[in-house]
Parts: sequence; structure tokens; C-alpha cells
Amino acid sequence: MFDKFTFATGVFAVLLFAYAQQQGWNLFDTVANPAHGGSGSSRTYHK
Amino acid sequence: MAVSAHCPSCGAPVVFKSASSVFAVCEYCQSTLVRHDQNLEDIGKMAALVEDRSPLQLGAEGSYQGVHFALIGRIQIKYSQGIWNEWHLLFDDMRTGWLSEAGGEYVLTFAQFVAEALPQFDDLKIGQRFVLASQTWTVSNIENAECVAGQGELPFKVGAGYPVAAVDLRNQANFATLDYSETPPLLFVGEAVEFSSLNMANLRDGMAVPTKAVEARVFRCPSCGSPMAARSREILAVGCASCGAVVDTADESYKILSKSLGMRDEKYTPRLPLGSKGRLEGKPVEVIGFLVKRCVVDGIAYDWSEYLLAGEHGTYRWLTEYNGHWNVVDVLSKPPAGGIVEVENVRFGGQVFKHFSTTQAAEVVQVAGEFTWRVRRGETNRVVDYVAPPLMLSSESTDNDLSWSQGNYVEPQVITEAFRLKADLPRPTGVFANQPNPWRATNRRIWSLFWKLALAAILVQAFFIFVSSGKVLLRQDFTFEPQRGEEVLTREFEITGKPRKIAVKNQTSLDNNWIGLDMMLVNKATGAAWPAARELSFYSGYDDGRWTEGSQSDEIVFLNIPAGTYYLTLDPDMAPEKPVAVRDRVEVHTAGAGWSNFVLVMIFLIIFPIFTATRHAAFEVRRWAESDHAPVSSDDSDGDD
Repeated sequence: MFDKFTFATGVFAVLLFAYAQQQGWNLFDTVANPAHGGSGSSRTYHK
Repeated sequence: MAVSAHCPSCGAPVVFKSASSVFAVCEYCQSTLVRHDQNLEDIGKMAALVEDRSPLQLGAEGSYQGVHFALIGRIQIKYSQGIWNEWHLLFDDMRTGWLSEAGGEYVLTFAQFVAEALPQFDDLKIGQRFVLASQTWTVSNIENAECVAGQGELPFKVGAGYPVAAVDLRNQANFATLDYSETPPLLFVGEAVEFSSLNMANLRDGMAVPTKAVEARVFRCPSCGSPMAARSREILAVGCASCGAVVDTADESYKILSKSLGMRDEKYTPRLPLGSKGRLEGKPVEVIGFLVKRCVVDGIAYDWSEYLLAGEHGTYRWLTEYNGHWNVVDVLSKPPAGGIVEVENVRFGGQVFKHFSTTQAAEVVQVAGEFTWRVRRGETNRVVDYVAPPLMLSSESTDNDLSWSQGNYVEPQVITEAFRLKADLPRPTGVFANQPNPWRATNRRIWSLFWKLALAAILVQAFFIFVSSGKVLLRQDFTFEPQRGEEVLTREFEITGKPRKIAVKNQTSLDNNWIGLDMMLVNKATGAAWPAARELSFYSGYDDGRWTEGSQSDEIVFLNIPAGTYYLTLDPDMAPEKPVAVRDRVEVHTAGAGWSNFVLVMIFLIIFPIFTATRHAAFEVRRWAESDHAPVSSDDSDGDD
């Protein structure tokens, strides 16, 4: 039982890790636009 | 070639199958006959053999190392703990040998003549080690025995009361006996053998010739009058289940070996009643004896139970029980090397057994049922235990005997099923010396799983580090002059493909200074902009050594930036009190995978093996707390002030 639980959670953790890497998630990043998960900008800039 | 003659007493034919046989007992009139060339001399009647449970008889045949042999003679020897048989063997290649049969153990030996002088009987002690015939031996038994009777052909003269001083020697491969009944003494070397390996035929059971069924003797306990029984003459002691007195069954008047239990003595009831029959490891066994042993450590008495089991072919096994922990125990005919001196480790059967405990005096405190030696209440022996769970090696020694046994830990359920007990046996309490660690297998599996998952995580990380690593999109140097604070624009750079994570790094020349940077990532085509404000400061100095504060560099990321042509705007805010230009190298790159997720996933994965390793270790701590190697508590180590 413990083996299965460990296996399941371990595999899930590795998959989640791979997804996080693919998404570029990083705890140590200072993110300029954290509130915007999408591609929208905070404002329009004109030179 | 066989030599035939006639018994001078009754005229019956007497055949000497072996040329080395000089002595025979007439099977018809029991006359003891000595061979002189073609004549036989009658020197009197041989005493009757003591009936026993041996499956062997004269005429039985077998094979050893591919050579056929027959049993042509027999000596019955009485020693301090019972009776054993020495069967005289004649092999087809005309060699003669001896098959010793004692306590269910079979040992086959051949006479060996060595150039060196054999040690004196009085010089040998139990556990003593020495080299003889190019082998290292340990003295395992010293006996002053006497011959009870003889049968068939024998190479020397024997008779009732004939003294047999013998010393048994053992090592891991072989067995030897020094026979001091002759001058000079004789050396016999051989090995313990499995009965089944001898391929014996013409045994007593199922034979055409009359076989005398072994009748149990029934008598009354001389102490309390309760009925008692001994299943055969091989049983030398019977413990009264009612009063605890131990009776010598070999004595015609049933002498009491040890008195009955006093009223205040604690009395244990065997969990496996005497007479219980069952199957252990597929072989039938019957509980015939029960005894309780006790050792006292620091004033605390520890009692455990031992059950003697009668098996097939006159073999015996033991069951031991302590606090619900059970062991199936077999006496080793090929014991480990070593004497009675305890050592740190013992190698045996490819395993290393660690010393667990030494009991200087294990005392028999209760006896019930039948035993093949003259057990007495109050008798003691020294026990040294070594463990390699689920196995345990025990050396038990007295002044004249050393024996090794191996126990195999079994769950109570195994015993319940083996003897088909109606009620479950009590659950074990505490941790026993050789109890398998329940976390051992799990711990191994979890560590194995951890390494596999860790490898997978490393590969994933390697993929994102080396395959999806950051690509530099822009690198440009600026110098910000004080007091001016004008906004500057970088060169344009391209972001391609899917929306990306973009990192902007500023590497400055700050020195005890600060700068604020309002940045904007701008899409040239759409005008979409992502602002970011950063403040960098870096101070350093000497104050009882060099110190620094802050950093000259900074990095910020923009998430999900779509493809397009971009540039950055930088609007510096500089310290008015420090009119020093600040150089800034701006570097824009696609952000590669970081290490934080890798660290997190590794921490998460290792939680499981750490948990199982901790549980495994905790179990071992409990096991060894009961040993001679338990950690010394602070109370024990406190000295007197």
C-alpha cells in the first residue's frame, strides 16, 4: 500500500515537475507581470 | 571375501563379511565370538541391545558418495545424555566405516591414521581449537561413555561396560572423533550426513523380518503419582506435567533427576500441548517435550519456552518461544568455526551473523514431557547468540559439550497453522533478536523507486537545461550619466515561436551607490508594453573585515511574451548625492528552466525513503536495545559526585 502510494505520488511529482519546467515556473524568478498569466500587456506604449 | 564359520555355542552359521572384523555376536544365541583364523572363540554372552527408535538394523543398505555399503555391525554406547549407536559399515570397495546415530543426527566417519601425536584426553577442553590432520577443529563434546551392547561384526572386542572415552571434533566441513578406548587413541574423520542422502533401504519399518514395535512405557511419577510415559528407550528423561519432577527413565526405579516444583514456583503452561502433531515445512513433527529456561540480567528474570519436536527417522527439532516470538531451531551438525569465546561476527552459510548477547547461565526451570538427554531442573549452560534476521545462531556450552543451533524466526500464524491450533497464539510483544525488520523490504523498494524517479527528474532537468536553454536576444551597454536621467531605448530584438518567458538582466558598475530603473518591454508592432521597475544598490566597505550589501546585478522575467519585434526602454533614476556615471550592460534572453522546481521535486521525492529509513532504523534500535550492545543510557553513565 505504502509502495503504491509512494509510486503514485512520486510519478505525479515528476510529471508535475516536467510540466513546471516546460511552463518556465521558477520560485526564484522575479516576475514583472505575475498577475497576467496570459499574453496581455499592462498598457500600450507609444514612442 | 566373506568368511563363514559356525558358532561354537549353538552351531549357527556366522559370516564375516569384512576381513577387518575380528569380533562378532551370534545373532541366534548372542554369544560373543572372537575370530582366530578359521576358528571362533566363545567368550560369553553379549548383553541385550537396548530397544530404541532407530530405523536402522543389520542388513540395511545405503550408499555414500556413490559407493554402496551395508550395515554389518553395531555398538550401543551409553553416555551422560543417553544412548547412541555406532553402525559398522562395509562398503563395496571393501572399506569399512562408521555411521554414528545420536539424537537424530547421522555422522559417517572413517578411521584415519596420522603421523602426528593425538592430544591427550585430559588435555582437551570444550571449545578448544587445534589443528589435526591438516584441519582446524573445535572440541564440541567430551564423553566418558560405556558400551551397552554389540551386534553383528565388529573390528574390535566390545562388551557391556566397556569404557568409551571419546572426544568429538567439528568444523564447518567435517566431523571427527578421537576414540581413547584404544591405545594409542584412534582418529575417525568424516562428516554429518542427511539421512535421506544415504538412500537407505531395508530399514526396520515395513520390513519382512519381524520388527519389534517400540512400545511406550507407562509408569507413575515417583513424586506425585501422576501417569507418565516414555515413547521409547531413547527417551532418557520425562518431566511430569503435573508436578514438574523430572524422572530418569533409563533407571529401573525411575529415579528423580530433579524434584517437583515448589508451590511458589511459577509454572508455565505449554502453548503447544505435549502430543500435538503438525507439519513444519512440510514434514510431520510431534511435540514430545517442553521446558522453560531462565536467565537473569540485572536482577530481572527472562523466561523462554522450548519445545522438543520428534520428526521423521528419529530426527528432532526445536521450537522456541519468547514473548510471542517463535523460532524453529535445528541443531547444526556442521557448525560455524569458533569455540565458546564470543566474537563480534560469525560467518556461516554465506551470511554474517552479528553477536547479539551472551547468557552466562541459562537455567532450566521447568520440564515436562520427554527428552533424549537427562535434563534436570536447575541445570545451566552458557548461550551465545548471533543474529542475521530472520536467522539466529546460538552456541550452547557446558563443561563437556558444545553445540550450535540455527533458529529461523517464524510468525505465530505459521505455528498456529502448522499445528492447526483452534485459537490464535498471542501476538508478539517487543522486538526479538532475529525478528525480520518489517521495514527492510519496503525501505529497499522505496529507495530503489527513489533512485529511478530521481533519475527521471534529472533527465527532465537536463533536457530543459541543455535542450531548452536560454538564447541571448540582446546584449547592449549603456552609461547613465548623473543628473541627466534620460530614457534610453535598446536595439530591437526578435522573439519567435510560441509565447515565451523573457528575462532581462542588468549588470551594473554600482559601487556604494544605487540606481532605479523603470523598464518597459515594448512590442514594436502592437505597442503592447510590459513595465518593470527595479532598484539596484551595492555597498561595500571594511568593518572588522570586508562587507558588502546589495548587488550590482539584477534579473527580472516577463512571462508569456508572444512572438514579435521588441525593444526595451530604460529610464534611470540616479542618486543625486553621488554624481558618478553608472555603466549598465542589458542582456535579454529567453529564460531557460530554473533549478527551484528540481530542488523541490528532489526534496519531495526523498521524503519517502527518509521516512522508511527512519522507521527501519527505529526498529533496529529497538532490537539492539535488548542486546549486549545496547547504547548506554545517561543514567548508566552518570558517575558518583
